Amino acid sequence: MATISFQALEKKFGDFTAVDTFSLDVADGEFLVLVGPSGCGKTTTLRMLAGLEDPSGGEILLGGDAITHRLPRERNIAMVFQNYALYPHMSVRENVGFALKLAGVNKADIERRVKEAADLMEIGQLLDRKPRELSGGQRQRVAVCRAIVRSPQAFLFDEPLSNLDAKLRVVARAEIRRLQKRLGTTTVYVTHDQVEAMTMADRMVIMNQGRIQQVGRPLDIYQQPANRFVATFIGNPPMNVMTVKPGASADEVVLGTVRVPLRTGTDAKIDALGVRPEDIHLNPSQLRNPIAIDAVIDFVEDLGAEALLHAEVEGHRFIARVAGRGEQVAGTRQTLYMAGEHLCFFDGPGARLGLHARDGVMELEQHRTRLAAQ
Amino acid sequence: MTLSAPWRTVGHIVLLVLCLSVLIPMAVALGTAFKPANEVFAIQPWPDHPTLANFFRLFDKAPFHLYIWNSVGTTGLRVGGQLVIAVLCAYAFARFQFRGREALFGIVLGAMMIPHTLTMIPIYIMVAKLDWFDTWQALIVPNLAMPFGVFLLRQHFKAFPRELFDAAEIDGAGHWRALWMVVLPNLKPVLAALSIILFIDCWNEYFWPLLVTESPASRTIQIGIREFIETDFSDYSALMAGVTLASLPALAIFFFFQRQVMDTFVASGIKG
Repeated sequence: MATISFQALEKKFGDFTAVDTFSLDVADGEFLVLVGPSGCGKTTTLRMLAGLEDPSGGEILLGGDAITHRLPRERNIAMVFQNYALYPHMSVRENVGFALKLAGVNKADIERRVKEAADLMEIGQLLDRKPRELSGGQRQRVAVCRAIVRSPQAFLFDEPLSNLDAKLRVVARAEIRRLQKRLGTTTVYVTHDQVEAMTMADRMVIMNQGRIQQVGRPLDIYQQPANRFVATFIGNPPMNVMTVKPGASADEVVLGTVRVPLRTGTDAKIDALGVRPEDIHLNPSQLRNPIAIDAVIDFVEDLGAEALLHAEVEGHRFIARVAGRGEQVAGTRQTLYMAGEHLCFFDGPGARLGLHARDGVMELEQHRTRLAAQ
Repeated sequence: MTLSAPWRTVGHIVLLVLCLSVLIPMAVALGTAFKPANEVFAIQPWPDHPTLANFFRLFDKAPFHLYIWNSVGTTGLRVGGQLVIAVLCAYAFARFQFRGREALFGIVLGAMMIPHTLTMIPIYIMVAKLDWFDTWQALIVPNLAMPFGVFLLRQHFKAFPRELFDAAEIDGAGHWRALWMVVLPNLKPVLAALSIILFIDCWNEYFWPLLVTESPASRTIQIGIREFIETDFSDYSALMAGVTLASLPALAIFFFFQRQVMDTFVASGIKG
């Protein structure tokens, strides 16, 4: 177990910067998840930590020791790969014990430690099988077993669940999390799946184009995304981001014809408004600060307990997640209510501004009057 | 694509003729090797009274035990050396980044295109200058570097899953251990196929051993048979015994490795 510190880590491939000044401290025993779209530099960062890539700049400390240019075998870390990377010609027992064998551990100790790890992962009955005789889930357990048998200072996971089916993935991610809590080993986990990131991480790091976009606890990031990229990357369906224009005064913006008053005035140029699908409601009665929008619902996805409404307001398309079973009909006009207290505002470059919507009752009244007049 | 019945029949007949054109001479040689003297020129390909006398006579008349020893020894050492060099060279080309790698590999590939006969005389002069004439070294050393082997193995090393290399590295293996303990055990079928090619190429080689050997101490079995034809052509059945002996190892190697070679082709058709 150890702390990990990335200090202005950088990786370039020719002119292309894959990882750009990555600085971060990982606490002892922490489960850190690196998440981002393909090509964002998360796997490259992990590979540099593993010693499989040589950084172009910066430092990596493991337990306070500089390991930046050490060979992988000199780092005391274990890694689980996306396709598990089990040696096809070796039995499960040999796969799990391979690192110990190379380290010169005597046979009796190898056998004991392999058995202990296998019991922990509940794969004791598979020890004499070859990888090709195992199912995907079993291979994944063997790969994790191979990592824990060495009692490393840190575990690295590179998208270890992406080859499993959806059902198994749910089970496996809970298992990995339980195991990590039990062993207390510092873990860095890479995934492109934001559900994995949200459910597993103590802290998560959102990356894009080689740069850290935001670091924080999953719920904090979900509720307070640092910028437009994070807002639309985290959440499924993603946050609806709609372009707004300045209002008549400095303390309001306009979404089409809907005025959204702000609590405070601002000099900042507000470019867009963000609202999560679950913050758009059919009924305003439970909302502290409802803002009415008159939308045309053009498509409904019924998910059973809830429905996703694909709708349009004043030329902006958005998705609302509402409770109900098959009650919504496509092609109808409907008044929907945004929870004003949860709106986000972004400036031109995409950074979130620390602004909040003001009480929207006035807007609601205006809206009702307009509807009545039609 | 499936062929219509008449075309399939024609195809089968062509294949049958091709097979027979190979098998009949082999069967005749094998049968004659066991025929007593009075049956040698009988039409019937197999002997009525099989005998080993032809083999005993062959060994009496010529030092065939030496020829066999020379062939087995030089082929074994040469194929072993070729495999070691090809494996190491291919691994370097596939895994190491170094200046001029592609150009160097281009030269290796270029060497495949130069006919063997073109380089024979310069190598012959070198062998003579090294005083290796009529020795095993002359048969082994000039042929140790095999561009085809380097090319074939490099392609397989490049196609080898990168994550297995990474896993081996994380587990504590350096290049040597990764190569011997992880990569090669998984490329057995390819090594087997390459071994067969190299073995048959070396075992059946005729012209080079003819150039650089002159005494029974270094002559190979193919040259031995040639010499036997020159000195005792009339003893046809002993000659066929020699031909049978010369053919056996190549067939044995093929059957021994056949399973592995088949696995190569079968495995390449199976998805991950």
